[in-house]
Amino acid sequence: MSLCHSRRLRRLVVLLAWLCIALGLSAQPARAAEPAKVTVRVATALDGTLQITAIVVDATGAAVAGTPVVLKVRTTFGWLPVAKGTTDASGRVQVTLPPSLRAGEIAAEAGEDAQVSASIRIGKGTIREPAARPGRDALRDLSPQPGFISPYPVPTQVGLLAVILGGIWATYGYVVWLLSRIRVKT
Amino acid sequence: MAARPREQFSDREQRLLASLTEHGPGFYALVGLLVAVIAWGIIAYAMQLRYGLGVTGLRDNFMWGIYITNFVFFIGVSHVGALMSAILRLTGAEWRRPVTRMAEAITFASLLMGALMPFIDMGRPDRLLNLLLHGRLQSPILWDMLSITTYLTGSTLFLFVPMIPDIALLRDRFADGPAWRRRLYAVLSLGWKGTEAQRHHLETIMAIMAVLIIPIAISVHTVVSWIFGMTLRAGWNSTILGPYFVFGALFSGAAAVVTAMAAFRRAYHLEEYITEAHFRRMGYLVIALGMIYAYFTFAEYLTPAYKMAAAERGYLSAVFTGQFSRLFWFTQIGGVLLPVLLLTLPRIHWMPRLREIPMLQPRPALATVATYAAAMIVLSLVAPQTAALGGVDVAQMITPWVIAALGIWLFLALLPVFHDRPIAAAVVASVLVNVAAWWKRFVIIVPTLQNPFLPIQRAPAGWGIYQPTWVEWSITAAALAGFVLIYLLFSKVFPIVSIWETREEPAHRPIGHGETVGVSVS
Repeated sequence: MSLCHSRRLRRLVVLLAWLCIALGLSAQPARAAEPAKVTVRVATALDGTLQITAIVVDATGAAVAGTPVVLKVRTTFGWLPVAKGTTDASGRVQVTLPPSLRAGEIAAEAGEDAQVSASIRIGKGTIREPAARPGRDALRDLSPQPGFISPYPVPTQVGLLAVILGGIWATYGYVVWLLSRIRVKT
Repeated sequence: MAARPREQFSDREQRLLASLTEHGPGFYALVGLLVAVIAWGIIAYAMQLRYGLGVTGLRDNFMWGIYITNFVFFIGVSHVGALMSAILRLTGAEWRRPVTRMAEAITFASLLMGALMPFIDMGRPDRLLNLLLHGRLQSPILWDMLSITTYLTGSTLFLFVPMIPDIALLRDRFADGPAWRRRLYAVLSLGWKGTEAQRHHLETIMAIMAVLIIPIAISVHTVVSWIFGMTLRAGWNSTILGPYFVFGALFSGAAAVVTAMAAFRRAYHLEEYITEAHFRRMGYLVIALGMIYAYFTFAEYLTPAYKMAAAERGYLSAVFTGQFSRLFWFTQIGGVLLPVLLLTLPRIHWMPRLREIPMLQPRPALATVATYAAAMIVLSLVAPQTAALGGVDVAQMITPWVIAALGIWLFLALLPVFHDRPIAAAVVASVLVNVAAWWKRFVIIVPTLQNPFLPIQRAPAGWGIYQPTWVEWSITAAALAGFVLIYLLFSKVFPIVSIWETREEPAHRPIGHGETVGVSVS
């Protein structure tokens, strides 16, 4: 009886041992340098340029070095990458953007697969510069023809197009109404 | 609504309506051929969709090729229906009556085909949605989409409104016809009875549309030209590209109407309605438009060629003397000069005397040119073309001087023939204009893309030149077949010559040289 009991106990011990080994093998060591959080800060320099700083930390709050960070700006067409960098020993990436970017939303994505991200709004009330006039100021320093290459509808152009196309389509409407009168008169 | 018995239709109406129901074997053969070509084009397009634009000759630097050539060509041809018809209506030109509907139907058919081409040029046509969702009002591409949509709507109305009285006639004629015809004509005739109030409304609408369609048509091709002109590229960076395109479009469109007139006249036996006088008047229009077009071409190329700026030198050299020179000079000599001469010289009264010159007999001249052309074709097929193998470049052997000499000889020998057959002269001229018009659009697009301001870099060998593949040629042939098929089927559903407008024309109205275009009043 005791022999049988001890055999069972031995089997149980062996089983537990294998279980521990299996668990030990399957467990991965904790990665100390895995980005867990990214913070974005914006400062305006005297010349109007924007100093964007992204700080990447891991789950323990320690700085993560050597992690790629992509800074993006929200546009009409979606998020547009504007700068790339790699964090330094203090987990920071610093980028300077031109003063033409005066309003909008800037995001930072950290990690190989952009595991973590954060965004910050800039513009009226946040930055000392007033909000940009759509189609005019946003690209003033980048293009000699801001009105024509602006991603935003320029009121003058919208108005002009609306008058021309609206006039034509309104006339079409009048013609269709006259056609309906032909049918009514029968 | 009581339908008119068939016996109450006049002979003239019966004759014009006969083309709608009488289909000979030639009609079925033509439809079969056109459908086969379209089916082949659809297969080619399926290949393009499946494997991407890599199956075409389009590459990074050649985003536009013969698809956009087709687009500009078809949109250009579409101009004539609206502009010619509207201007002739407003000016009260009576001779226009039998031909305006042909012109308006050309607008409709060619616009449908032209509007398809940008989608085919897109490797991912589903991305068209992005143009609607994210399109920028500052982009000429969006302007183009808006203007073509507006023009298609306007030209459809412009085609439909003058057809209402004729559709009412068809409604009565086919009262015991197939169900689809009865339903179609009943809906589209809008209950037309020809009352005073209805005629008043119809005339008001036609007056409005005739005035409105002119600026719309002009703006459409101007906007098409801006797709090119708003970019900073050699050959496209021009201020007169808008009017240049408009007159080029009118020129090719007027020629297309001449071809259509001749085809329908022969196929539907419309000799009574489309007379030689109509061809002569359309010929005057083609001559005038051709000369304006030549003036614009001269101005367009002289300005940069006089300066020969370094950045544009490569492009201009390629067009005038280089790779594209044969095409370019063909478009100018074969597509402008020769048609204008064909439409004018045969009318000189002493032209038949050329027959008396032994060297200018048509048959020897034709035989010589045909033999020479056949020899060159055979040589190009059998001779090795690689220089290392002792091959010959047949294209280089055909010197411009030989072509010019043979061409002048043939032209002079055929002048007396064309004197006797002015309609044949008009048809040959109009076909030449349209073939050259297509190649001219090619010469506008491809040499510019091949000579960008910044050199083409890091491109694989062969990507520096554009060579259309069988896929593009198949789709182009299908588009042309589609245009002809739409036009042909239109003529089988609606009368291609306006019945009520020609009926209102005073009988036997003289329009010059004792010829008449009038028809008996029924």
